[in-house]
Amino acid sequence: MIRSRIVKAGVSMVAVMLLLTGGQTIQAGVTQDAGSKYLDNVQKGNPGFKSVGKITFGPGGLLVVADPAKATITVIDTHDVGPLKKLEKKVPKIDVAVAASMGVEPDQINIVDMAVNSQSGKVYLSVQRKTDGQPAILVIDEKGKVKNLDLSEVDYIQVALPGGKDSKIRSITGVALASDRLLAAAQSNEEFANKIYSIPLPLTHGTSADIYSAETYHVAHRKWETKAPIQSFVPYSNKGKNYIVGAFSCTPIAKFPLDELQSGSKVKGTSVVELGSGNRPLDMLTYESDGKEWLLTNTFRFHWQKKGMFGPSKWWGVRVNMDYLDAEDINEEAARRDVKQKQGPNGIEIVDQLFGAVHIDKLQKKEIVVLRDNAGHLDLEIAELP
Amino acid sequence: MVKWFSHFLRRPVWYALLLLFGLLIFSERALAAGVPKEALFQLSIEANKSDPRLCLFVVTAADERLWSTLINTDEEQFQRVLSLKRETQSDKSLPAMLGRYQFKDQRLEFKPAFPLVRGGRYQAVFEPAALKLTTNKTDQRLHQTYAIPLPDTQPPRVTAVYPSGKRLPANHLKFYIQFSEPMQQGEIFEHFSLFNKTQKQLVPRPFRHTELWSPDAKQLTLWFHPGRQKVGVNLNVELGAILNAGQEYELRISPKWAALSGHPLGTEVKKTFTAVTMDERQPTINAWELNKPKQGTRKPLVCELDEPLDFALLRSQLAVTDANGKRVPGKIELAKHESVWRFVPEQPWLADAYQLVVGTVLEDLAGNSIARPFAIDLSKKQAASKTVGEFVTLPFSIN
Repeated sequence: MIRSRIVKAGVSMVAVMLLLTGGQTIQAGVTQDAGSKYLDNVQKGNPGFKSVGKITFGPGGLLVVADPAKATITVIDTHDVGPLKKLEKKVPKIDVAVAASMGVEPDQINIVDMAVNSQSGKVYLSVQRKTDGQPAILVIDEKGKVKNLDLSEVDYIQVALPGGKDSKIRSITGVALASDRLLAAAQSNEEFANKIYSIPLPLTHGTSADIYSAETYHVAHRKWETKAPIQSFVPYSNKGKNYIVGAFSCTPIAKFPLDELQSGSKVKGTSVVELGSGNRPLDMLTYESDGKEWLLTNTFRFHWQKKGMFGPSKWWGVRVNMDYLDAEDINEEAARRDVKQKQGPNGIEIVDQLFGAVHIDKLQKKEIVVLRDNAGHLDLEIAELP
Repeated sequence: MVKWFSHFLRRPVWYALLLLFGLLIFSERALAAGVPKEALFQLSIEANKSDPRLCLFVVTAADERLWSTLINTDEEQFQRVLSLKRETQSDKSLPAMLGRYQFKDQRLEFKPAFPLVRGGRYQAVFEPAALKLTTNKTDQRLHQTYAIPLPDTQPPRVTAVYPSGKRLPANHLKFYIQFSEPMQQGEIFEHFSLFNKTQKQLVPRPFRHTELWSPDAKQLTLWFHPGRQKVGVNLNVELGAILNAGQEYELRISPKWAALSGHPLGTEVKKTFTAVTMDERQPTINAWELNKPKQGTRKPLVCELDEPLDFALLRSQLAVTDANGKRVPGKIELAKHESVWRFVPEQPWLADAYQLVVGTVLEDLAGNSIARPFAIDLSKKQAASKTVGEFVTLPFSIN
């Protein structure tokens, strides 16, 4: 089976380079390399965020930040390339510390997303104060201390999603840095439409995404074909073809071919697994265990107390054997998770470690960092996947 | 000899010892001279005159050498010495506000990383003991409270809710809510509820929890959950539809919801409507009726749309072009609950050919667009409408 997780491939390449070079110059070398491969026309200064949304890490300490209010994607070279220092112990009620660090009460912040720098182990949070919309990128170190990523003087590039200031794109649901492109999924604030943006590497400051799909569809309940917004996704390649594997509001996991994507073209996804209704997928990642590759996703289910539903929390997660993704053109026959059981059909399993998981991201191998609901507060901890 | 001495001087440890010695003498003298202990340090707040949320917290030392123990230290040590917290968060286990520390001669300045919040009360605390200067001779803890009042402005208002009509299809999809000023964002859905007036109960979980704001943050697009609004889609089957035809509803907005100014709405906002038969028909321009104005006038071109269509898309997806395909500048007005679209040109109409250009993403109230119905029943082999491009046009001429 030929398969690669594009982002992770990039990370390992950088890791090899780390081993080959040495001393103080390592970090600069790696960062410069990551910078030159991925970024062009790098700016120094303040990216001027109006909002912060989804965030994700690429290789070499590159942090991708979506700004839905400005309809832009920014890539910051954090120069945070290790050494690896994992979170030493669980940090209870990290939301309380985050709020205090920003000078407000816990109910006055919104932790929008979390990304883990797998090279340094540091946890990055995109946070907005509800009181005044003040955005921030905060960094949690191995001791659980909250630090500020000072945005006044960073190395960055910023690209606009088409439409610029008048863009109707107001919700950027996902961002990912693949080996050959930056991907973003976004929703309009007017028509019920969802768009996938693809920007080739290197990302050049001041440019605009020029390849995008006009619409995405999926088939729900084996019968109804509707437009559907992608909530989270990962880049994925198989048999030499590139895809986005995405999860939708109502909640099939579907894959979309990327290679034929042309500006303005409509792309139709192939639903491969249905997880059950009422779920809002939050994050998605892939990992390997016992020689199998798994797709892991955590979701929020708003009618979780409905009779017969499995699980102790409205936040829960599932792993899906990635062999399911080989399926071709099976919209109507997509595998359906048995919503009343912990497992089944074969290769689709509820993951206990994801109960209460509001955000997850991969640290390394089978380790993930979980931001977990604790009676309305949020605990930060490392979890080992099955 | 000189070389040997300068070599020693370069060593930080000697520097530190010398400095400490100097400080000991300095503080002893200061005390011996009867200078009150608190005079060694003074805590002050320097607020920006035009924006009180921006301020500097400053401790001025009687001598800059009193800061010697803070040189080359980390942020946490600075926070132990000078911290800023909300008054309600004085607990030691809670971290202080993040920010930047710097020295300017005798001044230790703290600039918070983020503006302070209107309506908030903060306390700056200076803890000289944390400087670990000598014994506890300089231990005079200083603190000062800083409160930022809410601005002296009117509370925010809901200026409009669209659709403006009182009859909405049972598969209605979205509302546009306009405010007089930008509102607080993030987890806003607790401020919305849908009350079924016929059944006298709240409708559980009707909204799609995705915040979609206009760039000026004064218009929110509020969606009913699409998965519950379409027959046959999973949530609709499991939980039922949100609206039942023939019943009366009230969309409610909580008075507690505050604007960025800090002021709440103050009064509950209600939008009452009756659900009518579902709309599964795509809008089509063939059903539209154009009432053309006379040449030489600036009277509006009036387009009767056959049904109410989406408020925002009517403004962004319709345009008039001239015979050369050039966009005619003018103003769009909507009437009769968004079932009439009017266009007033900036310049008088010419006796010429024009066309109305319509983006096919234009939707009705139930999400059916000119290009596509909201949902297609594959089992019925229901065909999608024949493929249409990005735009359709309605030609007309002015005489």
